[in-house]
Amino acid sequence: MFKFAIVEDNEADAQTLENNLKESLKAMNVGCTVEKFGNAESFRGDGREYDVIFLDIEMPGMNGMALAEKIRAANSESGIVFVTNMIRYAVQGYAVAPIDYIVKPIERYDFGITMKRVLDFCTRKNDLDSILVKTGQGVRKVCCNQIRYIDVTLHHIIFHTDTEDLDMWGTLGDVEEKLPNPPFFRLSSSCIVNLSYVKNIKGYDVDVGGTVLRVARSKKRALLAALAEYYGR
Amino acid sequence: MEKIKIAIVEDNAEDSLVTRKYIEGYCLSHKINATVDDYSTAFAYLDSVQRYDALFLDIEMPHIDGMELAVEIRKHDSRVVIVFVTNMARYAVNGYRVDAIDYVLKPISGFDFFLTMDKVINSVERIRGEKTYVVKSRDGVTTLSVSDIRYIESLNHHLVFHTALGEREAYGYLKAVESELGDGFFRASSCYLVNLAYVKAVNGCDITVGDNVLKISRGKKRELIERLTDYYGGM
Repeated sequence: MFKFAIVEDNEADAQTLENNLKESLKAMNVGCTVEKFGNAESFRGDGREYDVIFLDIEMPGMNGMALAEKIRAANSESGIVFVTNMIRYAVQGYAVAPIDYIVKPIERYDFGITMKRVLDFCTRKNDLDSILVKTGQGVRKVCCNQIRYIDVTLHHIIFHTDTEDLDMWGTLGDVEEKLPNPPFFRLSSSCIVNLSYVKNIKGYDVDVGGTVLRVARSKKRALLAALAEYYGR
Repeated sequence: MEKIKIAIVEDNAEDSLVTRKYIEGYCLSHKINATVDDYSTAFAYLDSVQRYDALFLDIEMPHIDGMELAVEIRKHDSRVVIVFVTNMARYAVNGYRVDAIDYVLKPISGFDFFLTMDKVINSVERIRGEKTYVVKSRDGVTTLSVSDIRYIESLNHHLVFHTALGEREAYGYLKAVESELGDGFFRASSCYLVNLAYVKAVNGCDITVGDNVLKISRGKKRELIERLTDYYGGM
């Protein structure tokens, strides 16, 4: 799953962009999450949890160019795309090495090129975090941040990814050892979750976007601590 | 660092000289060994057989302008560092699409240009760190980043390099390429050499490499899975 952020003061434009993004990625069979921010001030931190950040430039308060500079000061990993109707910042934009600079209104063909650049960028950025899963049907390379959670039933380990469920034979302990931690966290004897998918926690129920998992009583405190640390970075 | 080769493509001789002075000034003060060539037209540049680490392109030029030249260059070369030096701000948006690392407006300001040169030198160093492979074909010589090569196919006594930039035909033997590229590549069958980084799935005797599905020799499957497991840390 790729994580995107949109910082845009015009709600209609933000919505159009979100729809375009989701549509293109769906066509390419890639999952994504999109978070929207109405102004630069509400975007906190350096944004390193996002793969790509889409920025409008002209906004009340801090403008998108200043925000981009603030992001780049601490974070050189995330991609930046300017989406704006202001051509005159195009020269200045080079300073933050963006993936692309699109001028509104967004044209379909043009956006397709941007999406290809964005996807190439994301693939390169995430390629190092892949693991190999041996399923009954063969071997698959899976990008770690596309895995929502992993559970086990009758010695079958099921990798629940954005696009499909992969079935593997083995033990959860072995899998846990090989996964990076964070973002992966062992919830119980039968389940490992990717913290970046956790939407909310109610009692011992952990919501990972549509699916509710159970956290073991003894693990709850550790889970909250791990989440805090993961997002506090 | 090995000598850096820089070219300026600029139709105005005076401007060309100014750019050269700034580049040379920077290299002198940073003790960087560099050569600077200049071309007064895009044609002259395209006719040269020289290879450069970095290009400084003017945009407004007769016949082929600098932006068109950059598009042409990027068809064959994803590596060379491109900087535009121009008095036309309005093409700045287009520069992103050819992966220009900077867009300098004339008249050149010394301070800003030094920042540009910092970026150029950093990019050249990074790109030089990447492994490359030189492909010879009817169309001439192309240098590919090894990380851009998805797989190589042997077809009717020539080779086809399938890369991120498209296909490149070449002369040669797969066996020779295999020994030169070495680690990271796997000979999947008599006619395919695949880059392990692009192998997405192995399913029976089909392997998915990028967006293509190739056939693998039955006897090679086990070895491929072992190599992939080493490469990624498998389960």
